[in-house]
Amino acid sequence: MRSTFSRLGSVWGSAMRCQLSLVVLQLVPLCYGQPVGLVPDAPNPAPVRTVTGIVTNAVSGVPIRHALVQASGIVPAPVLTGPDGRFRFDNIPEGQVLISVQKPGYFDANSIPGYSQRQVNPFATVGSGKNDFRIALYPAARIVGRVTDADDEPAENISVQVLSEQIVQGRKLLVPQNGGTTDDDGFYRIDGLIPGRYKIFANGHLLPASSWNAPPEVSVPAYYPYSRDLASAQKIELKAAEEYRADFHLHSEPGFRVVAAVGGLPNSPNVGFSLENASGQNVMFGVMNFDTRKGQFTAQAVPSGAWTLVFSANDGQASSYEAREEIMVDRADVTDLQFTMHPLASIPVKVNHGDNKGQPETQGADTALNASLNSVEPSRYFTYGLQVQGSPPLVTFSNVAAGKYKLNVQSLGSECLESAWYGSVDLTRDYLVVGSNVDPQTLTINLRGDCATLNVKLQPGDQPRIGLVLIVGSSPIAEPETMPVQAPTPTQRENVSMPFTLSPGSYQVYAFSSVAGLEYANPEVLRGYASQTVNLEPGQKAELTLELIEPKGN
Amino acid sequence: MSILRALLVLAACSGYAICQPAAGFKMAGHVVRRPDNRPAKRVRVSIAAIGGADRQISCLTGDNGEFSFAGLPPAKYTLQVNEHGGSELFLQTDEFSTAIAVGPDLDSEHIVFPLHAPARITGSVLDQEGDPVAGALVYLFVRSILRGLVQTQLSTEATTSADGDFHFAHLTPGTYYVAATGHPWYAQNFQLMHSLHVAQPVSLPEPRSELDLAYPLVYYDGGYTPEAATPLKLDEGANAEIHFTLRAVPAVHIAADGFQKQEGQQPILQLFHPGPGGTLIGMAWGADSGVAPGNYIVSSSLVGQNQTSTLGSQLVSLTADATVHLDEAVQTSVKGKVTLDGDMPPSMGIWLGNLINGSPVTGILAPDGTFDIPNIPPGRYALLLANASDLYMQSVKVKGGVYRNGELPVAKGAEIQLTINAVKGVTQVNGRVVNGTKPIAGAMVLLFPHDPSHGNNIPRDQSDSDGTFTLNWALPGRYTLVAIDHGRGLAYADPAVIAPYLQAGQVLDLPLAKDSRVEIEVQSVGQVGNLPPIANRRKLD
Repeated sequence: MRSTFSRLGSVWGSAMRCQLSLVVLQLVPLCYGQPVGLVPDAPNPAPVRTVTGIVTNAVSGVPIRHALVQASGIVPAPVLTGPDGRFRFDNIPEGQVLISVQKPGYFDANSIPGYSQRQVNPFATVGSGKNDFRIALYPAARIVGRVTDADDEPAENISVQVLSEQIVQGRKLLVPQNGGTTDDDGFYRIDGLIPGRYKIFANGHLLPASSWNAPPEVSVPAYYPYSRDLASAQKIELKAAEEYRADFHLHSEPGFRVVAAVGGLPNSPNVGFSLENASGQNVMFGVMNFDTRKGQFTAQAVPSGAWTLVFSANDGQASSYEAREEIMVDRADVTDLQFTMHPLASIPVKVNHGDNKGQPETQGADTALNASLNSVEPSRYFTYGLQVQGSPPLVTFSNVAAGKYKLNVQSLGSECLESAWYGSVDLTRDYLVVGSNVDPQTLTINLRGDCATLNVKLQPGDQPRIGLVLIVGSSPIAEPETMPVQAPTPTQRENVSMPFTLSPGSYQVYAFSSVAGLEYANPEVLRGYASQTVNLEPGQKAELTLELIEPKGN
Repeated sequence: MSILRALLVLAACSGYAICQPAAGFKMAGHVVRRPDNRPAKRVRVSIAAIGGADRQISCLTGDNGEFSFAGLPPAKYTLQVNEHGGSELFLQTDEFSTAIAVGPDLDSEHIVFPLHAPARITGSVLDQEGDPVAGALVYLFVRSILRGLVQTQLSTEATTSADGDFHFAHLTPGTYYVAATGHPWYAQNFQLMHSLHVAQPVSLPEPRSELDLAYPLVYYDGGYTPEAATPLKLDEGANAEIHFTLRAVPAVHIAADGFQKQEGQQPILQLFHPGPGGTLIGMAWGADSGVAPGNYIVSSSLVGQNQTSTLGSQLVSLTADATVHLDEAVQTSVKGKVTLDGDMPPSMGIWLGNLINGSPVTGILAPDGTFDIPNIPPGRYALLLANASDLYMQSVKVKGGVYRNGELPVAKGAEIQLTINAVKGVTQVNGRVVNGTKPIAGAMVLLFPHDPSHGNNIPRDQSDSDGTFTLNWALPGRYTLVAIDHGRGLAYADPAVIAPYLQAGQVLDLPLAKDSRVEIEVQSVGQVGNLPPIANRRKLD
């Protein structure tokens, strides 16, 4: 039943994104409903109880009034806490219930990456005793500051953006998050930030020239406090309720005109364009426009340096086009650029099932498959996914940009991956490189039916806890597979986890109390943790029992 | 000089004009702060040439507010000051300003730039618990004289921060109204958001959640209707601080019936609050189908992939959940055809400007000259051709309505059919404003048509530093030309207001002879408006 595994994986993977935007508290439920497989089925009509509780500020301990409390999956409607922070639900059936709390400007501990020691069980056990619960919320942090220009004057309408250090599919990435715009006094404020690590970026703007013969001036986009590149920007660690002051003083320098002729536009193009800095981030300096009729791009003022100019378009059908090239501005106008747009690659995928390779039409019709191409360049991280149901002769990864990718395959049936080839490239051991304007080859995925299964259990603990099992194959580019598993208490009925269906081979298996903030796709990071090695033979059914590992502070 | 013209020039700036500094001219002066004429030090002064030259340069003022630009080619230049994110053109009035003429025998070195202090409104929006309402929408309306008419317009809107704060900056003195609304973050009615596409009457969950709540639109200072709004009168440099409290009330929900849709079409309802001065406030209703009880204008249409049809508008007064009968919607439309000699300019259209709140409605002409503008809010409209090059309306025939004195009243439910004959011949008037023989800068120059069918189409400009002006978009016919000093804030489109000035005006028959230039004697309205003492500007004489 890998389908359950997969769904849970995605719930965990995206829970934080939801909580970031909606200020949803207490792990998953408000956004995604009740996690599958973690709550035992309710027996026949259970006695009902009154559930009470209090919502408090985790930092100050002060009760939080007017917080919205919801008992997930239970009939009683949501309620607001009173002035004393207390709430009450009647007629809650005995058993485990998810209690979620929302309040703008607050987060729960499970939303905070790297705060693994604060991971709490989101389930409340309702029984015959006193059902009174205490729920602590963490106040959000904020970044405030003032942007001044080279004249020490406040710079209005400057876009300021925070980049949040996040773990996305086990990779540590800086993800553009909230942003703000300076007001007429140059002030900005970015609210609602989860405690964590951030970098801050202020975009540039155009200034007039200082003399008649000089080029116009541009204030150069800057990372806080005064860095031009992301790598050397200061990393800010925000704590709950913290207000961090980050002022920018934008310096100015001459800007030069950049003109590019763009060919190869599709019919009826809707052309987008952007200028990226060396860190792969979109920057603005002044007026940039694209004349569709002439196929000409003009940037009024670009400071000296290396930039990447990107054009994208679609043909109004399903095909996307792109042109991407680094340009160099060296204290002079650049007016002779030539770009040619090419359609993005469409990579055909052929899936061969089990023992009948080459006859996909007749075999494995009940097999579903999730495949994705994950880019390996941190500054341009994106994935392309496709789902194969049954046995279509050919499916396609559509509109894949040029770059280097890892192939990740999850078979949702009884089959598992045997091999994957892109021409002569073994994609289980090497990257798939997509070129620009190069005819793609067929990507062949070969599945096998003699898979092994691995059942992973967790040692019981004092409290019911949820752990995350990681299974890492022996290939140097293997993507870890993850699945949440509940660790029972000694008195609880043992929870049976869903087994992994795996290709025969050697694996390292880890069980973490949380992977929030853990860069688990990085082999160097995992090397510091205890694991069990398991060698799986074809058709083998194996079982492991693991202790939960507390991730180290990171 | 029209700001529109200046902006067009600025927008085209992209190259670097190479000039001869040694042979150039100079522009210099001082920037002073109103109202006490203190020097404005370290403010950025920018100039950009109009016409031939094509770029902007700037400098900072010194300790005495002084600035200068040397080596300039002879030309007219826009002069602008930027400070604290705001900008002001020299002697700016509405969309007009005074350009500085630089060249032989022109004094461009004794400029006094009076810098106005902008006003601002700051405030907060809280709920009945005293918690900030993040993401609340705050609407700012301004009542002012625009194009010679007293009008109330929706000026801008802001969204509150996480702390419920908002602010409006760079405001000119005038009368303002402010309104706020939002959505209770804890409201339990978002599950009905699909009812924006109201295929059938919505089945509401029972029992209704106690948190099925909505915020009504509330005006400063606590009123719930435009009539109950308290005006905020802002002087120059004023900083008003206001606060709103939004009180959640049980929401009401809307369903719809009475429509026949084709396959693939969905009815779309848009809700509007009637705002001050006949303005309409669109509601972000899609994310919140529960609305506060009150009066709304419901505009409905059937939207499909290939076909969209307007059903009309209706005023509904909601006190409880209601089904809106879309067959009772009133369709108000203006359609017709424009005939003309020669080719139709690209994107040519019809422009209807509401004479009360300035809101425009436009329709693009089909290749055969026909147009159809559906669902027009009832009101009084000025009628013009848009993107029409040098074409003007020689005649307008109307069925289903009346077009008189340049005004097209559109009644509720009216179906007006226009036949417009457009001909070439739009002309312009070039001239100079003088006081005796001295050129006058900054005068409001107006061209009043004698033909009442021109209505509110009164060509206007502002004289530049050498007294020169250009009036565009003048139609053939007889006019009276007037030049008014200190004309800021003059409701010149009011016949009673302008009558005394017309008596001393100059009658012109257009078109004028080619290359002819007009000289017009300036009149003064004294201290109407907020211009600096005239002595400051007469230094340009």
